[in-house]
Amino acid sequence: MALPNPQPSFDAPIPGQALVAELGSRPWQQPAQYSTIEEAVDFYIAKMSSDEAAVQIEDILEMGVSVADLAHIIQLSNVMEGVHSIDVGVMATPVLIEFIMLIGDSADIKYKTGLEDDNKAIEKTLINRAMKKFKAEEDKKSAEPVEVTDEPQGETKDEKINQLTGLMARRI
Amino acid sequence: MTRQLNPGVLAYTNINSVKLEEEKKPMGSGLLSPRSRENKSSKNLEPYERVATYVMAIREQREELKNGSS
Repeated sequence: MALPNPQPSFDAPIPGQALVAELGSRPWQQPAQYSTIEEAVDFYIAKMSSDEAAVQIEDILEMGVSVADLAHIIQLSNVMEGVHSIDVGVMATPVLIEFIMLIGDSADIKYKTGLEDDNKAIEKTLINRAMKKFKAEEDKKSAEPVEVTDEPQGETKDEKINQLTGLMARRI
Repeated sequence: MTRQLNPGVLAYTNINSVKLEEEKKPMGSGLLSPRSRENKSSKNLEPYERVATYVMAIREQREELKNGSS
């Protein structure tokens, strides 16, 4: 159990301190190292083709991280390091996804792609919910007693007469 | 959740719908043969088309690997 600190710490960062860094002091505020997609793709392919990187990627895939998430994390971390801009990163992500899949396939790993449509899952739950509601209503209806009336069902005699309006119709 | 937070997923799914122009067969080289427009070089391609070519190339490799191993 942590004891309460009797004296307040004055060394802690001031709230918002991270936002007041000098302009240009962060890597992403500098011109990107690679400004074109070709350069960025070359950088990634060269980096990920090494055995060390491939083994690391295989480990991560085996942990259950989806390919799309991994590609996103890789490109985002490189944006933070000032390797390329965000737009170049987004454009390079499909190549990263495909290359990570290639690494996963070559290592015979059953990986999650992360490309599955979330809407399908939502649709399924909505359908299940609607079916449940429908079933409950059906059960409720079947449980209610049916009212028995003395009036004969079907068409009355007057209605039948009104229907026979043709010339050749038999008169009653 | 992945789809909503990751723009790369959207880019990847849209890349699949990009149709790259097929290479046209070379026309005759006679004087009266119709002049064909010069094919787009890789520099003239739009960025998304260039990305699509890379993705297709890697995908071919992947499919070769899959077909070879099975």
